[in-house]
Formats: sequence, C-alpha cells, structure tokens
Amino acid sequence: MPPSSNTSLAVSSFQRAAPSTAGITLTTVAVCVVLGVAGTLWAGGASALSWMLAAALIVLGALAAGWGYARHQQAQKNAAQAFAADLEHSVKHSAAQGTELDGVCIEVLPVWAEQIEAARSHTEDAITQLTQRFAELAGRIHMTVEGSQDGNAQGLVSLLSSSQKELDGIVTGLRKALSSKEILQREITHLHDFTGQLQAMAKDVADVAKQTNLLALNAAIEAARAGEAGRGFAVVADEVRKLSTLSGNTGQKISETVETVNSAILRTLEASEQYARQDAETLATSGEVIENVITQFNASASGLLQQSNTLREQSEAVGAEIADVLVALQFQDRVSQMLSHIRNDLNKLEQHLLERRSLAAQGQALKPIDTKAWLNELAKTYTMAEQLAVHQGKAPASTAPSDITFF
Amino acid sequence: MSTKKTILIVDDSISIRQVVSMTLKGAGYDVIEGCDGKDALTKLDGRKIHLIVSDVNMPNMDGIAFVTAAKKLPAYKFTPVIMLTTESGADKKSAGQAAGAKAWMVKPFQPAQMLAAVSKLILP
Repeated sequence: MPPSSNTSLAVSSFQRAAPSTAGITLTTVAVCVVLGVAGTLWAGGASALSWMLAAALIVLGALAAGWGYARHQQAQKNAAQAFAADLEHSVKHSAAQGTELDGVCIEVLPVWAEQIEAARSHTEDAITQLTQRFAELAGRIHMTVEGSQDGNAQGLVSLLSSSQKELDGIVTGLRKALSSKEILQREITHLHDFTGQLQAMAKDVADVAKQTNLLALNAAIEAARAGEAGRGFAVVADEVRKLSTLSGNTGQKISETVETVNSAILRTLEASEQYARQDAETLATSGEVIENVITQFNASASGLLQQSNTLREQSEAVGAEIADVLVALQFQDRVSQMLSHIRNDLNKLEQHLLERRSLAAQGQALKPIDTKAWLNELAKTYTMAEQLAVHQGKAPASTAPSDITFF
Repeated sequence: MSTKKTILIVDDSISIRQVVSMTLKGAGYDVIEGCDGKDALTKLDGRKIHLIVSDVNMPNMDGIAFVTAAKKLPAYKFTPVIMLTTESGADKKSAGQAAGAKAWMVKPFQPAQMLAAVSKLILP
C-alpha cells in the first residue's frame, strides 16, 4: 500500500535522525565537562583556584549543553518539519494515486460487468439452442424407437405368417380337390368292372339265343317229321327261331354297346388319371413354390427384423447418450449463476466507488472499506458449495448429480 | 379428455426447463412451464396440477415464496412440490421444507432419479 509505506519511511527517517544528533551533542559536552573537571581537580588538587576552574568548566559545560540542547531541539524541529512535508507529499501522492485507481475502477468495472454479462448471455442462448436441438433429437429418436417396436418389422412378420397360413390353406384345398378326383377315379374304375359283368351277361344272352336257335331248329325238324299234325308246331318253332335270332342280335348289340361304353370309360379313366397326375404335379410344384417364396420372404423379413433391431438398439444408445449430454448441459445454469454473482459484485463495487467519489467531492470523510465484511457479504450471495469452496481457496468439489432429499 | 397427469415446471433457465420438460414428456406426463414464481402463480388458475417442480433462485419471485403462495391456494394445498436447485445449504433446505416442499433435488439432476422422485410423489 503506497501511502502507508511512504509514511512509515518518513517516520523512521525522522526517528533515526533526531536522537542521533542530540545524542552526539550531549555526549560530547558531558565528556568534555567530566574530563575538564577531573583534569582541573587532578592538576591543581583541591585548591580554591581549582574549584573555581572546575566551576567555570561546569558553567561552560552547562552553556555548551544548553547550546547543544538548543541545536538538538532545532534539529528535531527541522526533522519534524521535513517529516510533515514528506507525509503531506506522501498523502497527496497516495491520494492522487487512489483517485486515479478509483477512476480506473469506475470506468473499468461496468465494462467488466457488461463483458461477463455478455459472455453469460451468449452461453445461455447457445446452450438453450443446443438443449432444444438435443431435446428434439431425443424426441425423434424416441418416436422412431417406439415406431419400430410397434410397427414395421413385427407387422411384416405377422403378415408373412398370415400369408403362409392362407397359402397353406389353398394347398390344402387343392389336395382335398385332388383326393375328391381320386374318389371319382375309383368310381369310374368300379364302373369299368361293371362293364365286364355286362359283357358277360351279353355273352350269356347270345349263348341262350344260340341254344334257343338250335332248339327251334330241332323243333322244326320234329314238326316236319310229325307231318300235318306238326304244322302248327312248325310255325311256333319258326317263331322261336326268329326270336332266338333277335335275342342273339340284341346280345351282340349289347356286347358292342358295352364295348363302346367300356372304351369310353377307359378313355375317361385314362384322361382322369392323366389330369390327376398333372394336378398332383402342379400341387407339388405349387407347394414348393409357396414354400420357397415364404422361405425367401422369411429370410428377408428376418434380415429386416435384425436390421430394425440393430437400428433400434443404436437409436436407444444414441438416445441415452443425448440424455447424458442434456444432463451435462445443465452446467450452464450453474455457470450462469456464478457469473451473475461476480457481475453483481462488480456492480456493487462500482456503486461503492461512485458513492465514495461523491462523498469526497462534498469534502466528507471517507470510511475505510471493510474488506472482510465485503468478502463475507459476497460469500452470502453464493448458492453452490463449489462457489464457497473457491471463495475459501479450496479446490471446487465435484458436484454429485441428483443429490435428493425427501422431507 | 386426456388421462395424462400434469406437471408444472418453474425455472428461469430455459435450458433446465427444456431438459425437465423433455424428461417428463418422455415418461408420458403433460407439462406446463413458468419462467419464475410470479409467472408460475398465473398458471395456478384452478386447473388440475398433479405435481410442481420448482427452482429456488429466480427473478421476480423466488421458489420458496412461490411455493408458500401456492400452498395458500385451496386447489393446490396438497399438490406435491419438488425443489430443483443448485442450492444445497441446510438453511435453504429447511426453508423449502417449511414452505411445504416434499423433496429437495440438487442440480444437475439425472432424468432417471427425477422420474423416480416424480412417480413417488405425484398425486393419484
């Protein structure tokens, strides 16, 4: 502190100068007087002259002492005057320095406060925007994750599953149709068996006709042998022969028709068997095609599902990272408060200096600034433990997040 | 009519309001915001509010004064309050408790703990 150091220098020089001058003068006079008296008494013994000389020396000594004291007083006065001058100079000098410092502070403090406020404000704006963007990102990711959980991949899997069921239903339907055809084929084969029986029956009819014809022929022979009496019988025999011929023809026709029907049935059976084979092949091919398609779709869906899961996991991880970033961005609130406290204290100091300047201008006495009280008041404005730690010159404690107390 | 529960967030820091809002909306709550105690009091207009999350140090009206005023309103007498603040001093905590707060949470907060505290205290 310049004023006090200047003052102390002046005081110490004054204290050093004054006693040394007086001390030398008095010591010199005292030594002279003692030596003079002693010498006079030793030289002349205890004679009256000696005593007179000694008295004269004492008087001289006293005069010298008086002169010395006067010199000492003058020196002291001079030193005091020099000290006063020094002090006045020091006070003026330090007052001038103080005024300069006050002036600088009054000009600089608002600039500092504004700069701090600008920095705080910029940080707040930037962090607010950053937080908003991150919050939007987090929201979108959340929606995407929700969507992927509810939607596409699962939907695709269920669609494939239902498609497979429906297609399997069609194949089952076709198999049923095919088995119905097999029943029909069996019926036709059965019909073919009947035609054999019909053929046999037609042959029987032909055989009966043939026998009947022979019988009629024999009857005609016997009728001819009987003569006139057998003429009626001969007519009957002839009619029987005609009928047997007709029966034989009918049997022949039946046999031919049965043959035709049998051929038709065989062709139908053959065609039906061919169609059945084709149907079976088509059915088998359809089943394979459907299975292949479903397998391919399943593979694609499985890939999609896997990709979707990976995407969802990645999205969730990004979401968690963003949540951490958002927690970290809360530092802005703390920094903002710390900067606000510093800014407020700078403003307070500026205000204080302005008041002092005003008081000085009015010629009023200035009270000294109580630094300790000032620091205590500053400490009272703190809201965070780390601010107090820094204030006390300690390392700021790391802030444990989410310290929660329930009442 | 929405079946979501409504939470009032009071903080002068926009970024903190955004983080709290995002956390709570993500968990399915409806959120309304106030930028200080005075502004937040205007939101207490009779609507159903299931919980309040309030900062302490705010311009115009601080959190303690706000909670004290809110608790005097019949509709919000039993609305639970979580103080969310940078303050961790015992004096301030006591003041918060005296004002009627149910929990004191120091910033920065972890969303999971915020949600745990909210679900513990929120009105049915």
